[in-house]
Amino acid sequence: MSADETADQTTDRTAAGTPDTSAEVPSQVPAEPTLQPTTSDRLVGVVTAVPGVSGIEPGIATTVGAIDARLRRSPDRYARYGLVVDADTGTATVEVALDGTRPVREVVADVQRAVAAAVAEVGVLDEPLRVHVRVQSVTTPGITHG
Amino acid sequence: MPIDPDTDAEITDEATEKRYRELVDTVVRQWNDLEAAGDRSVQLSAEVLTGLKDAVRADARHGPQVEMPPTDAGPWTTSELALRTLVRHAVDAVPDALSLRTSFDYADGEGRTRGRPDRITCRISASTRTPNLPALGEAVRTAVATACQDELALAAPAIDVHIEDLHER
Repeated sequence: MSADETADQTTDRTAAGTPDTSAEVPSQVPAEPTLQPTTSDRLVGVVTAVPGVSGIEPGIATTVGAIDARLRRSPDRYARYGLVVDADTGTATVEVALDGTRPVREVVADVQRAVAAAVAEVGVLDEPLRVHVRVQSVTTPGITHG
Repeated sequence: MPIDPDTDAEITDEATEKRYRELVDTVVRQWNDLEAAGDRSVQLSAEVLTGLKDAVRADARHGPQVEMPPTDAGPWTTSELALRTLVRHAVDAVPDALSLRTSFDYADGEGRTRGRPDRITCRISASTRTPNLPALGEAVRTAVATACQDELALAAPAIDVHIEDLHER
């Protein structure tokens, strides 16, 4: 079964509540939820929607992590440049640039809560996700650095 | 130990083990030969190479990551570049002061991450119209300390202010 089919099954079950058994279908083990590319794309949107975040700014840590995840093709670890989520260890790393409109610490806390909540919705973890934010640059009004 | 996929038993026959190791050695040798010959099928893609180069350049520009007091939602760090930006902004906001250079002393950190800053050194230029240079220095110190607390929840690093230049304003 492809990764996309697994994700579709999970979504359909969630939406319908009880699966329709009236048609003849082969018996299957219910699909375990996994981290999918669509989950990570949504996570990037969740991060950039936080007020005070000007964007994802990838550093060397997540870049190497993204390459490693692609090579290993692990379903429990999804990485893209700037954002790595590892369901095995229950951790995530997010690298961001901030726009200076709000205190840095407040923005960081909001990013952590938003990412943890979004991953909790997927249902891959038993414990809350531990989100490590790396602030790469801050733009201050009237001055641009980084 | 290699596992027989039909029986799930470990393959312990010496000849089979030897053959398995020979096959692995052959694959590794072929991969290395293809890589040395520049075969694209075993190289990182152009996209990955570009991503790596961009990340290395960004890493050099950002400087090391610096540990910060965790939020109630988790740990975080900031780049030295971002830290310097915040301090310079605080200094430049003080009337008659212009930031020239900022440096930090750090507590011991883990791995490549620096520990929290325990001393900030601000080298500034003062306006020629400044009536009281010590008061200006104190204003800069207060501004930087306030920025550290408000932006980062970083309490009371030592802050040194050096007035190194005068400017017309």
